[in-house]
Amino acid sequence: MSDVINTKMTERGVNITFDSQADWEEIKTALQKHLEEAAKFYQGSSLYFDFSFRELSSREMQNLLNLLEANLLAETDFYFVQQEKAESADRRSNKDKVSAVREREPRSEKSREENKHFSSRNDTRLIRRTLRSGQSVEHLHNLVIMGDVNPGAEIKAGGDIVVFGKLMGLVHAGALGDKSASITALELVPTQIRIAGVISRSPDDEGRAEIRPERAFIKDGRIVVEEIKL
Amino acid sequence: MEQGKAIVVTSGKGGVGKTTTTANLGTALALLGKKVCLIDADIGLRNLDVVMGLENRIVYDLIDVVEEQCRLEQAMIKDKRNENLFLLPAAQTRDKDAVSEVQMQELIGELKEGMDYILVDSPAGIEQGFRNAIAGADSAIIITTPEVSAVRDADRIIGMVEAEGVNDPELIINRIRKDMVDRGDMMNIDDMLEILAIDILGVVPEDEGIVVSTNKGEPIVLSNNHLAGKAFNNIARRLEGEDIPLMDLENNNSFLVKIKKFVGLN
Repeated sequence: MSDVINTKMTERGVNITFDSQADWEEIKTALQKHLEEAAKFYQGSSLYFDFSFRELSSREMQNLLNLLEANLLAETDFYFVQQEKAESADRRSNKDKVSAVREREPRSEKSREENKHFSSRNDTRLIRRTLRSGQSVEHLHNLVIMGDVNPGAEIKAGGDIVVFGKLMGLVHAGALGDKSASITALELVPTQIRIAGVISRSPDDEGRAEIRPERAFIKDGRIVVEEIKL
Repeated sequence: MEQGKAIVVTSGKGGVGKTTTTANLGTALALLGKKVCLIDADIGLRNLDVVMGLENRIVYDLIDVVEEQCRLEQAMIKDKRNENLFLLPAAQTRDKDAVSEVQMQELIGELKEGMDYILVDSPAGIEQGFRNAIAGADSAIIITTPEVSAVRDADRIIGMVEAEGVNDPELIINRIRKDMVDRGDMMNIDDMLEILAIDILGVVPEDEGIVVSTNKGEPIVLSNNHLAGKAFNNIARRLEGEDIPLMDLENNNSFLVKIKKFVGLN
């Protein structure tokens, strides 16, 4: 990769930024080269391009779109963002205030349809391991953990969370504000549970006899836990 | 209001009781009516919240404060037993580099306005985490146990603390066992003071109750019948300027021994 392009993996996808000193031709060449190399790698993820350091003419924009259309594989979403805004929004969304400020550039009707078709595939992330103290997983959509979530671990998802195991750490579903999100676990004993902006903590005196799968959700503005009838 | 005093609790070696000491001294000072804030500076390996039994109340942490995601007061957790006591927890999913020495200084400076004491629980080691922990400190409490390795590390840490301009560190000897010292199997207090050559703030006997209290998240100073708890209470009062002699570790022995002594069997 050249110095003209910088990439950074985030929970929502890949941020792609450019050297603000580079001229348009350099950017185009570098981008073309980079996408040829990495298109396969980017398949199925979202790319966030930051061109906020310069103004794009309509011709340049057209060039850019053609370049992206020609090089990116299907199922790769791309967005144009202002990095500063996007990053601070990202950070704020960590504290579940608002979702990212960004401008969506639909590729074409056809590819939009494709995306819809594949969206179920990209929505949910599966983690097949136990999360230990200090480890954290964040995902924009739904999250499934096949394993335990130990105390001190954190999981956060924009959508629902399902844990096939014992959930003991900190869990946050609907982190972008979705109050209908729920948290399900084979054993639901989290240190702290959050859904959208509602926070609840486990009682200080723990201890229960039976282990049953449970589901937590918001009802009347409060988090309630309900046993799952099998 | 007079400015509070920031004290770092550090040791170099791990497992000698920094976190236990911080939790108990903080609780003891709060019981004396002082406003106390405990800071867990062990970013990435936080424990103080667990020992205090406050883990499930954490919403924001120290890193959120320095990154201005929240206000300082939002991150401070009020103790569930004492309204004079607060905890500023560490972040668990970050590492030591997430905060700088300057940021710690600013943070502690701000806390001093409203608190009588700020106790900073330092991570083990001599790297960035330790440097952050001592950055804003006015004084230092060095913890050691009666082991050659712990004393060696304490000596190194005393040197580093003094090099950072924190003068007159004071020593707490933790987990001492009178019976072993008497048999000559354990370093005695004088041996350690000879090497370290700093003022001694207190001696805390080994006590099984510590394990129980740590696991329950209840500092041992809250129960009356533990010698270790009494030792920490004494240390808190010494910090407050009271002149309390070092505990007579003979107390360590049971009531039965006293009876034996009394009837001359010992």
